[in-house]
Amino acid sequence: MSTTTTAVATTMVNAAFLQEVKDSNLQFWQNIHDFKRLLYSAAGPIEHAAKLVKLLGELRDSMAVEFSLEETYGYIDGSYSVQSVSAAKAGIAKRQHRELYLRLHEISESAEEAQYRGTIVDDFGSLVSVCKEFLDSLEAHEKHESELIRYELGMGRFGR
Amino acid sequence: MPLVTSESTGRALEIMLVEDSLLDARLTIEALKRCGIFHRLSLFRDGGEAMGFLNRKGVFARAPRPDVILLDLILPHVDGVAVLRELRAERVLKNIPVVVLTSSDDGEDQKQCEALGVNNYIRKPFNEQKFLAVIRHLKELSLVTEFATA
Repeated sequence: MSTTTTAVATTMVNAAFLQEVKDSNLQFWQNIHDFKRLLYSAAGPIEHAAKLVKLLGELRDSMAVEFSLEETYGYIDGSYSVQSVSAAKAGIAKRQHRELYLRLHEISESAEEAQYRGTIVDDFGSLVSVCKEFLDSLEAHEKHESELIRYELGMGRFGR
Repeated sequence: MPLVTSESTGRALEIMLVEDSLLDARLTIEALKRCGIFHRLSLFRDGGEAMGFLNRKGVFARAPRPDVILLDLILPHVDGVAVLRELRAERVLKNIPVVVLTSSDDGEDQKQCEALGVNNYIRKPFNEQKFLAVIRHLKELSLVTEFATA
């Protein structure tokens, strides 16, 4: 009897390192906190428009650093013969990095353009809406990675 | 997604950082952010993956050619000296400036790197001002090369 296994490109998570990266980038978490606070504050566009544009740029830069460090030290790409549930989840998390970065880049660029054209106050309502949608996606991603870390460390199960 | 950008205008200086220590990578990234030079950084933790990027293999088929390589010596899989040797043997890669960032105090390592034509050899933990002066100098060199070949 013979068996054949095929190695396929797989992403594995290095849970301890991924957690370490997350724990050490205070700037990123501060940017998210400031961003969220501004989006849900009661103040209007005149007070907040310029601040939101600036925060979008800062969040984009700190997120790029965070995702870059996470992918370099928190994930391991390779060829393995066994596809695990966590490998599939790790692959999804890495894809989400790309999608989130591109989305934030796009939002940030359009906000800067609106500021340049002088339409930022008029566009503020719709800008806040897309920022809230983005924030929801980012938080869902962080929850996904948190579950992945807990699963790899034997501390939890994946949600549905 | 090994990309980091800093805010400015004009073409970004393409920097490749090959570093297996998370802490050292973070310190280098933070120093570069304070440098004020518009740059894009590609980060790798082992020499094999770094060579794949430089040789544009597989997923790196459309990788940018770095203007500067910041190279640690002690790396998993393929070490920094092996990367340097391979780099200097490739016609299209051999002229890329390389700055070695290492915690090694072995004089032999430095001799070997100098024989392979590294532009700078910096011991970690590095003096940030000296490190940034090296990066600024290499940025100027890359502009001169770009102008001369335009």
